[in-house]
Amino acid sequence: MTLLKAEEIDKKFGGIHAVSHLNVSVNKGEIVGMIGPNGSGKTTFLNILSGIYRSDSGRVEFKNEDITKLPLHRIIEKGIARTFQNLRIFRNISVLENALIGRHHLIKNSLLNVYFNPSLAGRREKSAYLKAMEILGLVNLAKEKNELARNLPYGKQRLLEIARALMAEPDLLLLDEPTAGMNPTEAVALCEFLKKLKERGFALFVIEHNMKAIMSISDKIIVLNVGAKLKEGIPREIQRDKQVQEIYLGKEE
Amino acid sequence: MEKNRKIIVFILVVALSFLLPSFVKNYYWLGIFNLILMYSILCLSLNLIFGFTNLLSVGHAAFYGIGAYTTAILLTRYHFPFLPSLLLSGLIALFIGFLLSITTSRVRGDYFTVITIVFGEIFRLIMQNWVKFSGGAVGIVGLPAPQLFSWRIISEKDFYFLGLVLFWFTYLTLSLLVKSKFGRAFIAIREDELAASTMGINVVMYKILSFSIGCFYAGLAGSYYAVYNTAIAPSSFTLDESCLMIIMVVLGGIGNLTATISGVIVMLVATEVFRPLYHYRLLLIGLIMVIVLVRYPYGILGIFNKIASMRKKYSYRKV
Repeated sequence: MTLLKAEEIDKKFGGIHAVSHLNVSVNKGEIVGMIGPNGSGKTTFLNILSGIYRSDSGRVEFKNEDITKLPLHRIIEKGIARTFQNLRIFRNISVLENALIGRHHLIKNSLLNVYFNPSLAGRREKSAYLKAMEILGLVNLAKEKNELARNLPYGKQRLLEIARALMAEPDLLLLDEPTAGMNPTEAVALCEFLKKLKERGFALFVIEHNMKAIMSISDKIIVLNVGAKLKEGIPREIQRDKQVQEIYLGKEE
Repeated sequence: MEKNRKIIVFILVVALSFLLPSFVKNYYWLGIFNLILMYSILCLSLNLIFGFTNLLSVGHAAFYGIGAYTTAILLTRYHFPFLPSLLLSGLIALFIGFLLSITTSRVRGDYFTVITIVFGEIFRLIMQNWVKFSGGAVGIVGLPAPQLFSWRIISEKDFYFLGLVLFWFTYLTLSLLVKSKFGRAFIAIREDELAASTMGINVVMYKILSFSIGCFYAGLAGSYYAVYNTAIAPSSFTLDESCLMIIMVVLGGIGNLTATISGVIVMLVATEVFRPLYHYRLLLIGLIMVIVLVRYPYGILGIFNKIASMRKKYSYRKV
């Protein structure tokens, strides 16, 4: 079943054609990887999917619903959550609070509830807390729940950002270079974790520079070059492809 | 266990605060307590706006003034009872805060600050020059003693209790707010606006909410000030006053309600203690502030945290 369908996405910044006529689809429970040299428009494309940028033309469909013009803060309600390439966790608050903010739109308390029906509000907070502990347990951060996020080692901060996105119970998770800055052991552990997420039914769309990582987890890989799709296929095909090798390693003279 | 202990401590503190006038009979000190209560209400609400949501408002005194003028005009000209005047003062401040924040919430941080400064000055100038409405530079004098049902609030001690009720109301309602998903949304906006909005937080709406709610309490404090002082004038609602509130919030600890109160107490008590030094006291207070903030950037809250972490270390060593 197709979960996400991006059709003919086009984005220009001044004279630069960052993304041109890109078609991407992600199925339910699938990991789709996106690779490409620096500046090939991967992050721009992710920003369009998550609502940070508006595409100049084309449309994004999620669960057969047009979300192209949806305001940024409403994307997550539809079931798309994301992480950032340069880590955007909430540094000065605890790990637990970081996770709880991820659940913002699912905690249905109104201001009136908070003041005039505190027991209902408390029950909803409590269930959010239990969910947070479950998800923090999943990424091995349950013990550090009261630690300030900025005091965590880098690898764990990355996991926290993923945990925060998972708290929103998304159907599709957009990850922008999740292994960036990790050492090889951490990167392997993260890949294992991402596979586990896939088994749990999440669909993942991953941008990655770490070839070993992306080849090992993806069902399908899209190669981007100067904003346009160069190749799409299973990891094995992509690895053998002459054109892909050329853009990464240069032409043989 | 931990939670129970906290509740017991809290109840004790509340009880003690109500018993305080039985120990302190001195009107001078009671007057200072009243000031502490009033500034606590102002600074708690400013901390919501500035400390939690990172909207540096340098116009808080204007909303405090709006509350004061509302009560003064309602009591002297329309002979309103006190309770509805108090509520209206809060609500009108909230409404004007709402209008101001609708226009400013899309503006980036420093520009927002400039707009609030300008707003505060405009408010003060209007009150100073619209003589027919606000009494001009003289202001409004001769406010009657407020009456709540059969309780006539007239002595220093009566005002202490009125201030105390308003203070605990502010403290409790704001504590509930900042511990709810709303408070977390404010903090998320402070920490990272882009990440906050990708997590489903409507940044513009929450900024408006935080600012308007903060203004509501400032209006209440203004109403209290008007009846306590029995006279108001535009010179009480200046830029200096807004700056003083920011200093108290920063000195106490940004983003922490309890710490704010300690900031207020330290500032006001220091002002009194150093009063014999006349103008030099400002110099001295400034010096103390610089030292505290250089050493502990998180204000008095930082000092407490340091002590707590030292105690933790000590108890580890014992084990």
